[in-house]
Amino acid sequence: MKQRVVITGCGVASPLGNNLADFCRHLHAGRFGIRPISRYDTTPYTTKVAAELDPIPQPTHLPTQRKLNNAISTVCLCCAEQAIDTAQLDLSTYNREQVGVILGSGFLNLYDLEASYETMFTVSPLKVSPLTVPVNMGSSPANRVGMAYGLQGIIKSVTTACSSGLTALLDSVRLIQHGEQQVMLTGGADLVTCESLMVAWERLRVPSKVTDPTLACRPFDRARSGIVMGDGAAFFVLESLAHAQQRQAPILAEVRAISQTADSVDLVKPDAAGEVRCLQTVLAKAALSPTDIGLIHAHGTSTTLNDAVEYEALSTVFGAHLADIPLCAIKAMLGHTMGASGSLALAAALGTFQDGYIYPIPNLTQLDEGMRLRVSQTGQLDPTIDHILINTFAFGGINNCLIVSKI
Amino acid sequence: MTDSTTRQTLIDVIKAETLLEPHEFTAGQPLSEIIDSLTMLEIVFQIEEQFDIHVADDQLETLQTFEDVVNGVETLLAEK
Repeated sequence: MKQRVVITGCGVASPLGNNLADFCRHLHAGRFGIRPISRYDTTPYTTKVAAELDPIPQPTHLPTQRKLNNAISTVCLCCAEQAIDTAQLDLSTYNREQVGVILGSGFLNLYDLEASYETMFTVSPLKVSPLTVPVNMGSSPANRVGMAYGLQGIIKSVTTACSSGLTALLDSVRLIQHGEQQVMLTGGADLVTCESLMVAWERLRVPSKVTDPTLACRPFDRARSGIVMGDGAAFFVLESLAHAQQRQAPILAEVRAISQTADSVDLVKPDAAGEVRCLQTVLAKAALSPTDIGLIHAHGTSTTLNDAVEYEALSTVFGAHLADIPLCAIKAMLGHTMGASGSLALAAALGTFQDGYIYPIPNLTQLDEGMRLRVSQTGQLDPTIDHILINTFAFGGINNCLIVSKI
Repeated sequence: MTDSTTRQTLIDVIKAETLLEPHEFTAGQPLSEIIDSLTMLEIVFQIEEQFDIHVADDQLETLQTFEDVVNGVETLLAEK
């Protein structure tokens, strides 16, 4: 029999705060993590704003060899440490083979590799650090978290572009459901505001060219004009409900159901049919009807096409009831944190379960033509929400939908 | 660079990379017993930077103890 899976710890690193409480407080207040880019000179480029994680937050008490931690590993360690602390988990008392780590990331170590390539091409290949491979291999951030706690369970990185964080969650949930691991640390992390990656996105003509940080990312607004790149990460502690109750752990939410589908249509254009299947699957797995959902965390990237297709998919599944369900899209404030976006939406959802607050879309002034959504520029209070739906619809047409429930 | 400054620079490099005290790595024991392989690679990288030399792969295998490192670096400096 499958075990019920709950979230008992959460850690956050974001331009809106480097812990869950700060992150949710700033979302609540409608603050913007999007700012003029400071990491490099934007003069040659049309993209002028991003949600940069600067400085990179550090773990506070985890002993690690800092030379072996690149920026994304450091962020993962920071989040994992918070998640374990909030879960009140003493991993030293566990069979280390029963605890694992799965990280989801769209771009993994590109942020850190940029410096190595710059050294190689502009200085000398002989100046490239000998630690470049071990520190920047794709599994390294998950390895570093595992090594910090001496974990010997299943440790890996998974990548499905912007749905990576929820793919990692899906894999981790299954391991707990089937009793293959007792505790999982899982999350999403992406650092994407390095110049080379920003340029690559700009060449794809996807980022917003709006220079006002408060107006650059406007999900579902008629004036939306593209994505704003963002850095961020969130990690969670997962365990079975029975295990959490046995050790009297603080339970933040239950992972009610999670689904994944693939469009297999286009590498960049979303397909409503694939998103519909993903939404229908998650509702069926959760044994819930659309009217049970109290809040939707839309993927809401702020591109003309993505938001229109997501609306079409939501309308197909929720029908007229869609206009009654509160919907939020935190990318308006946070930018698109790529593989971390689903994880940060989940962190925001945990905040809503704690205080009943539905986060605003502060710059949404006019819904796109034909869209009927329950959105708010100032936020809403609804402590009765029991089930929250989170969407991530990634490049490659890989879709993940998650329903978390109050417990 | 004199022998003593070479020695002191090497002590500083290893100390900075390992946080070991000099007496812990200068007493003649194999460095591989007290320094992991990745840190050793980083130490060699720093030595190459500090002295503007290149340590070839076959030379690397001869650097077993701290004295081997001192002698190896002095040899490479003399060949410059």
